[in-house]
Amino acid sequence: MSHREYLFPLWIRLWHFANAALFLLLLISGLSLHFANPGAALLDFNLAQRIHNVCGVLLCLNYVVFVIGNIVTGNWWQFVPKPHGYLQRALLQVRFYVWDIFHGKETPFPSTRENNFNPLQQVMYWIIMYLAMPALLITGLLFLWPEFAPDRLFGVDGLVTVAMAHYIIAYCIILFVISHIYLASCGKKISTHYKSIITGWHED
Amino acid sequence: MRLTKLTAMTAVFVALVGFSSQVRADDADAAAAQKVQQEKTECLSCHSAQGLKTPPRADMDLKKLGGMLIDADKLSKSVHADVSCKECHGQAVASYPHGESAHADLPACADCHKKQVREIAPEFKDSVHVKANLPDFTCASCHDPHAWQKVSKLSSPKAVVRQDNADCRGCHDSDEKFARFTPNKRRDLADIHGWLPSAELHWKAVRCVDCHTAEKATGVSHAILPKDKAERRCVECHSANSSLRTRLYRQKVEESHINPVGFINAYILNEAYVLGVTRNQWLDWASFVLLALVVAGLGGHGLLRFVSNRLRKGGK
Ligand code: HEC
Ligand code: HEC
Ligand code: HEC
Ligand code: HEC
Ligand code: HEC
Ligand code: HEC
Ligand code: HEC
Ligand code: HEM
Repeated sequence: MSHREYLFPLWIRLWHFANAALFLLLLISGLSLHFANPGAALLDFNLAQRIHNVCGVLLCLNYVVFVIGNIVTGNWWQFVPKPHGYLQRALLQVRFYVWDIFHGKETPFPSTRENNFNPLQQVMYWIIMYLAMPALLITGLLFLWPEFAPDRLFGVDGLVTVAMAHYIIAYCIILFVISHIYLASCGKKISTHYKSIITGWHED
Repeated sequence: MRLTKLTAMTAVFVALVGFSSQVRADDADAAAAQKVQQEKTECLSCHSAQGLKTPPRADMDLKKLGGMLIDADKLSKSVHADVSCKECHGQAVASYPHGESAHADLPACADCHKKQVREIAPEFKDSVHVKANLPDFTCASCHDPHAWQKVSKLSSPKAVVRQDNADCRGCHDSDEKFARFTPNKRRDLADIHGWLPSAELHWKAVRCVDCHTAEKATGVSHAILPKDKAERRCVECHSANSSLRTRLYRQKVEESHINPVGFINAYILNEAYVLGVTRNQWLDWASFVLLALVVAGLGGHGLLRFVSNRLRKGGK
């Protein structure tokens, strides 16, 4: 049974790849700042700092696009874990990843226009996009305009906490991104999901 | 027996004399200190904001006086709080109107600071300011003798930065003062340092001399280098082995103890978080391990998929 469906409208695809590109640049420049050392870092400190600031602000704007787009198109509904029987569905998905997939079975929740994300995707995307991203953006903006950061926190300069939070959240999101890219290969064919986020069409 | 009595009496006598002379010396010290304070009050009755508001005399050039005021509060915390005005300014100012030589009679710092000047004068002569032959550029052009506070008594590195940078900026940020030293046009500090992001933040966090002098084993060098020799490499400060360790925060490094929570350069955290300098190594290790686990987990998953797929196909 082959089925073909238009899942990702153009605005989502454009948003998604802008997000990905900015992330990559922010990752490389952010790590260069964190591990700054003569000769050892990926990018020159001054360059890294400029790239990070520009991309950071662009990522904020992109996030605003995401939120508005989601509200206007109703796409936000996809992110909401539907409570009725959620736990069973989530366990089903876990079983798929740790067992069924090795036995040639297909995903229990194929992507459709009504139900694009599987139950695990729903919670993870919800946590990342509506909790972690805002926290990352806010700590980033505070880093950029430290006059709005608390003066002192936990007995040390307030920016210490902001910087640590920024680093930890950024790191968690990076781990998510790595898993995200890998898990996208778990479609019917390895290329199935990659193709659909590029063309917008889901085929299996 | 008589001998010991005599010794005892002598000892008592010596002690009494010693005690009374001690009392006299203390009295003399107290009297001298009081005299200094009295003299200062006298001068400040005119040379202070209060004096300008309610001048004790009517026949003064108030406009001129307005440019010669002294902040009594700063003065009382300064290194020269206990030095009489007259000791530096001489007798020409003892009464008003001041004598002809009131302006010319300023003391050289070396009159009282031979040791320091011996060390500093050669560096000072090597500085851009002296080499540019700026007229009347002296120690006092930076060190306001009525306000300078002893560096080791300042509460924190940020307070040191505030005092030091205020001196440079008092001239480099003021057209009026700058013009007294050179006919050349003053360039705006923000323009000059346009390549330095958040320059205002840096002015509050590091000293101008941290970039504009060579490192020195003790204290700060007085040889302000020409601009092409100034430091512009960010990683000189923004790295684990930051030059902040050997410059602005040297005192703190010596005082700091073992650090229980894994921060490198933890002695800075009280003042600032500095990119690349104040990382937490435990957090770095934890994040490496976590990354390794995630990558290994996903890689293992992928491998199992690959192998099980092969087996299934082979079995068919
Ligand atoms: C009654 C007011 C008054 C008193 C008291 C006074 N001054 Fe002045 N002083 C002035 C005024 C006004 C000027 C401005 C120049 C002038 O009119 O001579 C001045 C100028 C000066 C100058 C600058 C001279 C120059 O031409 O550059 C010095 C230095 C000075 N005073 C030091 C002192 C000291 C030290 C004392 C205390 C021992 C003192 N003054 C007490 C009013 C006073
Ligand atoms: C340690 C020495 C020292 C002491 C103590 C001192 N001064 Fe001065 N004073 C100086 C020097 C040096 C200058 C010149 C500053 C400069 O070149 O900018 C000066 C400048 C001044 C001026 C401005 C002169 C001008 O031409 O602009 C006044 C007024 C003055 N002092 C008043 C006082 C008064 C009042 C006191 C006591 C409360 C005092 N000073 C204590 C060293 C001293
Ligand atoms: C009349 C004598 C006298 C003159 C002139 C004088 N001072 Fe002082 N200075 C003192 C005394 C007294 C102290 C306090 C004792 C001490 O700490 O050495 C002091 C302390 C200092 C200190 C802090 C001590 C240190 O070595 O760290 C500095 C800095 C200083 N003076 C700078 C200057 C400068 C700059 C000038 C010239 C504008 C100057 N002084 C002129 C008497 C003088
Ligand atoms: C271009 C500005 C400038 C000039 C001119 C200058 N100094 Fe300094 N001086 C400084 C700075 C900046 C420091 C460093 C303070 C610190 O440790 O952060 C300093 C430190 C000192 C100290 C140690 C101060 C303390 O409280 O421990 C002494 C003493 C001193 N200078 C004396 C002199 C003498 C004497 C002259 C004239 C030969 C002179 N300075 C000229 C800027 C200047
Ligand atoms: C991060 C290091 C750094 C700090 C901090 C710093 N400077 Fe500079 N400064 C430089 C460098 C590098 C240059 C040379 C710039 C150039 O040639 O383009 C320079 C140039 C200058 C010049 C020469 C301007 C000209 O072209 O004529 C002045 C004056 C100057 N700085 C003053 C200051 C003062 C005052 C402060 C403190 C408020 C300060 N600097 C702090 C690095 C620094
Ligand atoms: C009393 C005024 C005054 C003070 C205080 C002062 N400067 Fe200057 N500085 C000047 C003037 C005037 C020039 C310009 C000389 C010229 O144009 O030839 C200058 C030039 C410079 C230059 C440029 C040198 C070059 O290569 O062209 C640097 C760098 C500099 N100052 C740094 C400092 C620092 C750092 C301090 C504080 C520690 C300081 N200055 C304090 C007046 C001052
Ligand atoms: C002389 C030492 C020094 C040099 C050189 C220096 N910085 Fe800094 N920088 C600091 C210090 C100290 C702070 C901490 C300021 C604060 O938050 O109080 C800082 C803060 C910053 C910040 C704000 C984020 C933070 O760490 O708090 C940025 C961005 C920055 N520097 C970029 C640069 C760049 C880019 C360069 C090179 C062009 C540079 N710095 C050169 C000392 C330096
Ligand atoms: C993919 C997303 C991001 C990653 C991986 C990331 C990573 C990092 C890292 C590792 C640092 C160094 C912190 C330290 O040394 O403790 C840093 C600093 C910083 N980040 Fe981010 N960040 C991201 C997004 C953002 C965003 C969205 C903003 C702003 C809106 C931002 C603003 C900043 C600022 C201002 C700094 C201080 C250095 C500078 O001024 O450039 N970051 N970031």
